[in-house]
Amino acid sequence: MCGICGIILKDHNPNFSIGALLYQMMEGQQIRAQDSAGIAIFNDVNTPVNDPSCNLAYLLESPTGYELREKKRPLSEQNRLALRLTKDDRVSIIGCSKEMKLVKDLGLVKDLDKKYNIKSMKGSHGIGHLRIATSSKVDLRNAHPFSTTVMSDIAVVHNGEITNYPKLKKSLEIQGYPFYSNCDSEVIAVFLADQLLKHGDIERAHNEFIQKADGPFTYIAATNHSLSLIRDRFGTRKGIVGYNPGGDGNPAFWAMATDLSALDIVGANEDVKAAPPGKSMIFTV
Amino acid sequence: MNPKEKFIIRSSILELAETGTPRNTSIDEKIGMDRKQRGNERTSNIWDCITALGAQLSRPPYDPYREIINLGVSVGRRQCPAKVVLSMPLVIYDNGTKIEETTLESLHVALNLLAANDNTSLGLVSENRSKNGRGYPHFERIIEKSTIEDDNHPEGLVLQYSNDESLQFITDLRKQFSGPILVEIDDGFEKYMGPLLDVGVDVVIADTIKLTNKEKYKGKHATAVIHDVRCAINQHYAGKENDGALLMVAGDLNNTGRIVKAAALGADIIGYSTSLLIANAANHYESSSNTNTVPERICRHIKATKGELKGVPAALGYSDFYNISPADLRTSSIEASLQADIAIEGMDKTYRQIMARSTTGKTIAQGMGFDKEGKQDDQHQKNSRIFSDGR
Repeated sequence: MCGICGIILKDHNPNFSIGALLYQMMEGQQIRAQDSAGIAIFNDVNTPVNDPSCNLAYLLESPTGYELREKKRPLSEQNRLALRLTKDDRVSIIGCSKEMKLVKDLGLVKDLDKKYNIKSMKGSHGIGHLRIATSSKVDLRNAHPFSTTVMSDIAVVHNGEITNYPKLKKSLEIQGYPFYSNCDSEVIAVFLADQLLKHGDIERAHNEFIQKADGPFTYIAATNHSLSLIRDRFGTRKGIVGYNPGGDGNPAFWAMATDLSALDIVGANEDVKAAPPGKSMIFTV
Repeated sequence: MNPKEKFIIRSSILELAETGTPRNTSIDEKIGMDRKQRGNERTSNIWDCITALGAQLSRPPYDPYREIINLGVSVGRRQCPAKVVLSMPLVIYDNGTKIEETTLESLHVALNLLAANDNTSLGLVSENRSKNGRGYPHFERIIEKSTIEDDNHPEGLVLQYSNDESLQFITDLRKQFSGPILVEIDDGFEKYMGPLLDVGVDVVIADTIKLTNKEKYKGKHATAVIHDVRCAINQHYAGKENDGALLMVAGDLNNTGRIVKAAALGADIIGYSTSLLIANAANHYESSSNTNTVPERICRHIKATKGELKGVPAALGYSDFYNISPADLRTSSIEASLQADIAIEGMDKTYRQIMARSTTGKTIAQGMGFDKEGKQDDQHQKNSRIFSDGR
């Protein structure tokens, strides 16, 4: 079964290598899944605050593997650019970002680190995912985290199944939202983006999804200001949160994951609790 | 030559021997007519060519989300003040003809029993005046220029779309009637679906038997009608969220299998006349109509149907009946795939998608690296090996 994890620092410290913590958590859960690995880390200090453009990130298949590329455009043009790029079968769209760095690849987390040096990535919060394919192919297009070109800086990692994914996807496609994979997890990112565009309330967006989605699921969603852990209304898939108070120069943080072992490995042993079924646990930067 | 055709020849010879009169139609013409009729029968069997993909049964860790299945549906769009809530996606449908009073009485008792004893609110579409003391919603058929009576008015109104004047009538009706408005469409629906929804119609009714008799759908199946009407509604909502407009489909949907398939193709409510048939049959063929046994029979039938309607979505992996979608269907029939955009069995593509070329000009087979002789190129073979190894 897929392994998901998330870390958010208690105090904003974009110079802390949050990637190292995510790496440890993912390595601790590697036994769950080995098809693909991916992370998304937020709050790149180098991004100008008022820049209206964002980066469209995508992976281009080459003879040696996949290359990560970015094109900077205003958000209003990103969908058109993404649709143009997807006409090339070698392209796998990642999403739009201003403050988010999202990388993913087939294989193990150590392979991902070798390629992208994720242990050195800095930020205030981030999420990670280890995939075992259940309802779609082992393919980079279906690797997590999922983002969307509808809104920048939103990423989702998911464990479980959204069984009414075709219906949800259709209702969003009718509204004009694009999809770039056949993976049910992508619908979470697009749904949340749609809700945030309508009312901007992340808790309300999660509640809407819990009501509308069918099936067993736990997901962690990250925006540039928040990190949330959500379980379906029956709590059929695990999701736990723990706290590390920090010390010896290390910052305090909350960690969330599917497995307790992932919390243990980063010392997030305080105030460990399971996320309540049908509710969201939201942490803000 | 198949046995049927041999029978035609043999029976024609026997007929000639018996009557001694020349035939009006030749044997060839009879065989041709039989083939044409069998062609129509083949079309009508498309329901039997469609299957629904099943989910796995409950597996560890136990999946409790399929313990309770939602069948309820709210009829009425966002702006409809007095919405009607149905317990099941069924409405007893009159097929456009007035229901005889004895039959109506049996249905009335049955629906009240269901509401009282089983907490099941099932709607009734009929031309008859609403009955007093009903515990179920009545959708009354009206003609244009009708007036709504103040006493005991129905929960919803049903009318037939005829021309542009219907739109004005509906606009005026919307101002004076607070419940849902249901409109039965004809085969020209694509031209007026947008304006129809704009004036506030809550439910679009498609009677597939009537529509498949129209020129546009000659030779086509009910599935094509359901697909096209759903597409027309979706097109109206392109770029915006559906505010509760529903599609009711009626016509030859007389068992749970067909109800589920119609729902997967896009129907939100099914116009169901089997209960009407039960009530009719009792009144015509029994020596005396019994207002106790007939309603009880209808109630048992509805309860059994309700159980089946819960079981099928659960087997498909849903806790809500309305989460069934075309992605749950597969077909062995190219005709069904073409008419209703259903994926072919064993694949996740429709027949059109299989035959279409991608924007790179390649067919799906070519896109997978196969040449004309069916040999795959080295790169695609290598990719297949990588993914199957999981590395």
